[in-house]
Amino acid sequence: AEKRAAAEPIEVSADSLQVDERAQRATYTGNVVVHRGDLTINADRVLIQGSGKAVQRIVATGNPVRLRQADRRGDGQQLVYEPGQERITLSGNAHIRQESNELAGERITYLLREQRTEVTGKSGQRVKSIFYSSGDAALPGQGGQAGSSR
Amino acid sequence: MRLPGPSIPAFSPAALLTILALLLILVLTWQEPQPVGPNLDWGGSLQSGDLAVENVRLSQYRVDGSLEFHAEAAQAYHDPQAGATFLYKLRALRPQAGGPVAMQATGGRVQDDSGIVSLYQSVRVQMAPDYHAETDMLRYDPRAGLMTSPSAVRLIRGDDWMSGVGMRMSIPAGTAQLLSQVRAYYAP
Repeated sequence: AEKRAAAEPIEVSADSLQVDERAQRATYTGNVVVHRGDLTINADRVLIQGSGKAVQRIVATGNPVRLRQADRRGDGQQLVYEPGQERITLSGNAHIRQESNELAGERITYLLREQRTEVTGKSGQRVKSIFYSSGDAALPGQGGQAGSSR
Repeated sequence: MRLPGPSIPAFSPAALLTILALLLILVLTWQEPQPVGPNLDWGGSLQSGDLAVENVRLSQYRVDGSLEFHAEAAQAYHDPQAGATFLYKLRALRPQAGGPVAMQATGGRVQDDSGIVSLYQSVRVQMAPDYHAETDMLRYDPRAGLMTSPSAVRLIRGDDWMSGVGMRMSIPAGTAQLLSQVRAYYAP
């Protein structure tokens, strides 16, 4: 589903918009919803940085920003989506849930193409991951500053 | 019996007096047609009414003589009371530093003193580098380079577009605001 997403348009709805043509920047504010394929982002404010005719980077902020893609849900204070690299970075008390599995940390980088997630904790803080295999009790959280999981 | 003499037009004194009175009224009420606003250079064939013309070419010039604004319209008339020129089916052009602003609309009005252009119905504005805007009502202040609209507006660039209700755009600053109900589409 992610490969097809890259060929999908990006559609935005919001209360208001400010365009700065020279900086190739569009800032959407108020009930902002960004769609691309099966990816949906809900935020208070979204900045779309263009480069030539392409969208280079989407920076969404909110309390929190919410991410939804297929059966994955995510939230955090800020979300950066780089369509070219098909990479989403959630930061600021970031969480990603898939069914009952959950990842939490200061920063979660989610690589759409490789379907890989990297979690980084705050310095001195541990990363928390909870994985349920079907039927088993909850496994203890994995330690360590940075962890990546499939 | 009267012999036919040389035929003297039977102008009775009353008829003569009436003609003289009419001529007098005409002389007293004749007004030189008013020039149309400041340095407006009208072209086109004149019709009846207050400088109503067809196939209009309206050009406004800056102090240094460079072209400030040029409009062509199917019809136009100048209303001294309103201090404005009303145009029908117009195309207008304003040379700008960053590139010309080209406008077209079904109806338009150019204010004599400020040069402010108000456009109505099927308004389409083309701007550098490759934007164009579509709406049904637009106010353009050429000297400040500001465009505003209270209506639904669509800003289009290539396959991408943005729409909203209410717009404020500054051409010199290269910024635009859509005030509510914003939608945007970025083509893949």
